[in-house]
Amino acid sequence: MSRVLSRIALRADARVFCIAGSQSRDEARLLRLAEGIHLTGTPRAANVLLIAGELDAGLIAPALVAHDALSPPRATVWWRLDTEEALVSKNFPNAFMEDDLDPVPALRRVHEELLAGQREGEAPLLPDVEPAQWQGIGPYGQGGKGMTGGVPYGRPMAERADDRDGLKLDYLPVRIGPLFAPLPVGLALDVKLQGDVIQGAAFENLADASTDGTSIFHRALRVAVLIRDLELARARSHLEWLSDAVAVAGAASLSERILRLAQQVAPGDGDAIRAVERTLRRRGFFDWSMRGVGVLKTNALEGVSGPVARASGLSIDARTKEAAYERLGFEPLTQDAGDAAARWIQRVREAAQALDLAGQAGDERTGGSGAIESPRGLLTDGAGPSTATARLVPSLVVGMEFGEAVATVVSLDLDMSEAQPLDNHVSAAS
Amino acid sequence: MLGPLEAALAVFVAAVGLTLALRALGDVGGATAPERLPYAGGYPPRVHAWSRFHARYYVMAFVFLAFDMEMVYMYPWAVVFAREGAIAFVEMGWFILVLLLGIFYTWREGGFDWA
Repeated sequence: MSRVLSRIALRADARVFCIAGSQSRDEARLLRLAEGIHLTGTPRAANVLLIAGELDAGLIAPALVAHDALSPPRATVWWRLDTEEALVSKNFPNAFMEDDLDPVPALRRVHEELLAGQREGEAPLLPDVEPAQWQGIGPYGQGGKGMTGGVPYGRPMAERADDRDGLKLDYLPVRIGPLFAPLPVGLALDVKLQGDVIQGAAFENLADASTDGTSIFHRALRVAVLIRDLELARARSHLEWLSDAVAVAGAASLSERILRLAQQVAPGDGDAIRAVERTLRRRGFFDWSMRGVGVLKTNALEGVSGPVARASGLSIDARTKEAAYERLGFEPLTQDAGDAAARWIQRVREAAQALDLAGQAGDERTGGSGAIESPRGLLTDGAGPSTATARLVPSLVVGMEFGEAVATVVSLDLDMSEAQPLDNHVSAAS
Repeated sequence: MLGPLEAALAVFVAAVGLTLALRALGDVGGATAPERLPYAGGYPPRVHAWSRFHARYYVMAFVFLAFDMEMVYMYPWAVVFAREGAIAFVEMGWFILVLLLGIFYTWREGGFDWA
């Protein structure tokens, strides 16, 4: 019977839960295009755990929890991606190491061996200790006096707070992330929920600080680079973000199409992006679900730069100060609405503009001045634009329904490894 | 042939047997405490899941109920509609108009706003 079942299961894609470190999310994103595997949103639906690159120190503990949440028999594959340090191999001693550029064959093989019984499932990594002990006190064993008093199963009951209708109702403090796919790598969102409405919010940044990235934008801080390459990289970054955001919105095949486009675009392909904007508009992406959601007024944007600021009407862009861009006739684009839809439209249009610029740029060069307009905003030596943008999150999501909050965080395009230095807990309440 | 009682018993035994078989098939046995925890992004829950929350859909439930009862009135009305003619039509139109005004009033007062 189980042989028949495993033969049927072998025909399906391998279910893989992928955890990427903040330096390997670009590689991990490309796995969405892979044939033969299916990336799941939760480890419960997967039996193979893929760890891409080296994990940030703060992600190790959550990754162990995710490992034990995999449905058994389980296995771990560590896709090394040229990492030297070995936080992962220390914490996941049984992980199958994969040095290839393409981890899919290894994932398939491990999956097939698990199903055929040739590979033994990994034992849980965390000790078998109840995090909260059952306390047999009270008439129902709930750990206290009365129906709702005490600490049932050793966990405190939800506390009460004022509801917006003037009632006293329970709120649930819930930590969402860091291994929740729609949120940026390393962001753990602590929300107080009443029903589906967020009454208070804070976040913790679990990503390792990384000030010296390897992207062309970091290189352009020190040396002059071709505008053509820089703008192409900007368009790619925006399209990769768009692919992620469309995937969060639930349109998987459109997300894959945009990701493929991000790999293929060349200087001068602005029209291809404008076609994407038309598709998004026709499919209603900019309509009711995002219009008026997460509105940022210009007076709340202290220190914020990049598409987020420009979508609220602030015409700030480091490129306007560069002679080379002036020769190309560059003018920053802006939107007025400042909501999530405006931020989407802003990035799509900037991607098209970047490809147009790249097409005209010829051999013009820019950079080397210590400040550059990166896809997320003004990048200087040692400080990235996400620091200021991330600070907006808690006050922005309070009062929202949970789904809106996720859409809002996605629309900010945060890179938590860049959002440093940052006092780790930033919070707001209603 | 089985009598009705035997048939019911057979169905019961088969159902129980199938349930137990499926359970045995799906049982992996001996899950550890971390394996049993609900997965919420990498951290264990901090408070107990027993909590009271606002059944905010109650407004929709009331509105639904009101219009459901309106449909109940329309059944006897439909029976006499052909005989009574235009006067019945006007009367029902008036009745629905009053209900509609109620909806517009609730709408204006923000009663349908979810958040």
